Amino acid sequence: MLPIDEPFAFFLPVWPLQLSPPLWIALAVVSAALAGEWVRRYLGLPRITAYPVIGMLVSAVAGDRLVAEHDEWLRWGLNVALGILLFELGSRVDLRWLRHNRWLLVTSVGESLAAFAAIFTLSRYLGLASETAALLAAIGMSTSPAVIMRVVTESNAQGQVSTRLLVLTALNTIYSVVTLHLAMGVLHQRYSGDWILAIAHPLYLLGAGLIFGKLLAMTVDRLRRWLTLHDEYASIILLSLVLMTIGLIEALRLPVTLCMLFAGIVLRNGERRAWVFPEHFGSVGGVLVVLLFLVAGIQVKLEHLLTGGTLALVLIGARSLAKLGGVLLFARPAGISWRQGLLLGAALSPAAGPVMVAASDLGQFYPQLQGTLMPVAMSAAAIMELAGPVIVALCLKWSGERRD
Amino acid sequence: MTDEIDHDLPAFSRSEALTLGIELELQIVGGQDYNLIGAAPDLLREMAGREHPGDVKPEITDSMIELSTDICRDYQDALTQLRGIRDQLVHQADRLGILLSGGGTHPFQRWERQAIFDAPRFQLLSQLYGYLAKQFTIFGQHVHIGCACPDRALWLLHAFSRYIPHLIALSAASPFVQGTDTGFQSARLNSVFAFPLSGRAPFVLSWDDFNAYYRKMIATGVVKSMKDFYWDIRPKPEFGTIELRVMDTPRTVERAAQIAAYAQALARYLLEEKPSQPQEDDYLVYTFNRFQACRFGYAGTLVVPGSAEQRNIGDDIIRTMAAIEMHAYDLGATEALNLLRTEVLQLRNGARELRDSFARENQFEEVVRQSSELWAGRTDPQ
Repeated sequence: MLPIDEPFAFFLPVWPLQLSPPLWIALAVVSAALAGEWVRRYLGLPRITAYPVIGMLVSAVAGDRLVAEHDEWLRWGLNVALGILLFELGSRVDLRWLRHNRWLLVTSVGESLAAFAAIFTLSRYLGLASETAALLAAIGMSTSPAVIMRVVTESNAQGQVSTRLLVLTALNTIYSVVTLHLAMGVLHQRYSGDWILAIAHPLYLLGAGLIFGKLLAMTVDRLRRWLTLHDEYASIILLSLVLMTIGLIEALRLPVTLCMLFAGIVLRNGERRAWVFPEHFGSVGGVLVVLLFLVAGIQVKLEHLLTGGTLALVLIGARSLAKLGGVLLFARPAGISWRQGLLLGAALSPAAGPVMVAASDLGQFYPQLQGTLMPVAMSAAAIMELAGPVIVALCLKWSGERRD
Repeated sequence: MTDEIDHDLPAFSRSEALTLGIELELQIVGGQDYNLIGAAPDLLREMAGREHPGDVKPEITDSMIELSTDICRDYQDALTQLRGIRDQLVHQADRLGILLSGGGTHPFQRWERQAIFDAPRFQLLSQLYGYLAKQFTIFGQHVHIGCACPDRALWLLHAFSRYIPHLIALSAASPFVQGTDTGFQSARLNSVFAFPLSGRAPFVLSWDDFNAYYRKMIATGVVKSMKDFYWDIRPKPEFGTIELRVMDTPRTVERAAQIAAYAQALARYLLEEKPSQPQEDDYLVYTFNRFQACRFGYAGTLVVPGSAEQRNIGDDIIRTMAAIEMHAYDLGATEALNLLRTEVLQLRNGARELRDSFARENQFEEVVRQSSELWAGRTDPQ
């Protein structure tokens, strides 16, 4: 007689089957993608609405074990997904437009400052320490680039609202990352009393970020002199270039967000030639995007929602109103109608991906923030993760710019 | 402008002979992907209340806009007005992050993506013509020439038919359609020919006879007003003009003004010297000549009506320019004529420039970008 846990033959698997965790992650991705298609077909909502929902279901069933165990390569995947999205977003920013229409730049600064002020004031009023409030406000300045890029691309929207939405998102993401790092510099001084460190840190991040962006842009630019970038095979080279850059950025402990945005902007504006983002390259990132939103859903913790949910809702409301006001104030001089201003302002409300990344980074740096900042930031991100894509999709629909 | 029927032809207004009016249909292009973009409502909203000569109107699709001059006396007047409107339009487009471009077609647009501008007449057209209405995303220049009386207008209309190939070759700027080189210099006109009422006007030389023809057409129910005739040249009784409609929108306002000045000097020559008397048989070679001009431009062959003589279209333009030189001088259009002559001798027109641009860049987006810079007056043609 053979023992029960030995296979009948050497080539048969041991029973019960040993399933590797990546299989479960793949399964989650498949379910998310299918749910995305379902949501799109039957509810007319953007696909990405479904991904975090599936993520939350997965985490309810399996906990965040999946994410925690494979932290390292998952983080890589997410960074690549975000990197490609931000690279594309950056390449949509036409600096010449900002020169011709200074009111657009004013709008951008206005809505970001308004959002910062609203969140800072409110969190101070609610009793947060001023450093924590400043960090929260800096994070809240940015509109989720991932949500905006995906929804605009998916609905094939074109017009004043969608184009300005992309530009304002790119700009407020830059302000947000810069402010966040400046605020971190302040925290450094407070926590370790070293002034040189506090000044050098943000300078290093910004300066090196720009240099890296420039380097990547220069490489891609050289590449397109002898390759058709719209070719499928050129996308492979492009993708590996981005992977390499992200690897280097990580090694140098630079923010991926900033470097990739800068790279896109430099590439688009570096020379006068027409630059159109290669289509295939975007679809390579598509798979990773599912993962990005899925993981965002998995990371949502119910206890965060319970402890920080109410405060988060109040903050979201104030922030959305501030952004709307900032846009509406300059809508007419910037060349859009009141209606377009209203839709643009509302569409700027999603806040997600980078908020979580930043919040968890900060959590690692300063464990003392874990209790106060994390729950509020995380639940605000979670709420907007779910509501954001729907709001943006509706705004684009009402603006009449959807062409899907 | 609704589906009401104009049973009677409007009375022919009096206008000063040989005055000019120019209309240009422009492409509105997105600053992101250089494809056509439906930004006409945005542009019209921002143009409202701004100081500029002439007028700006919506057109059949919302990725198209039409500018028109007021009545112009001469070439300089037309040029000044066109530049004035152009500058204001470009300024507003810059604020909106969109681009404007001349040329008869957009090189790589997909016409099935264009939304029909939401105005009753255009909705009606699209119901009637289906996909043809959308294929009408083509961009032309119309030149009005003032006529003192309707009979003279009809006479001039038919006398002009012999010179239609000149206007086509000089203005041709639509070699590319939907991302392919058509081989034509003006592929735009091929889209116009698809319409049932395109082509030439009937050969009648008195306004009463024309009125009778118009009533018969109305009675058939085929047409509802003069707007339903897409003739190459048609009378415009409301303005008291004949309207030349075969030109592609040139790539610059300067070129547009030069072509209008050429037409004006030619009209004066025809009316004052009466080099030939128009007749129905002139039209025997009309479509052949027109095809040659669309396909080959200056290099095409033109059969002189009433003879079997074949000429190179470019040569025929140069000869005509010599004949009308004094009239151009009297009208203040010598500069325009000289500039055009240089272009003809160098075999240059918009189609040639666009093909050169694509050969250099090998990317349609960049061709469109260069066209829009050229239109804005920020670069010179290469």
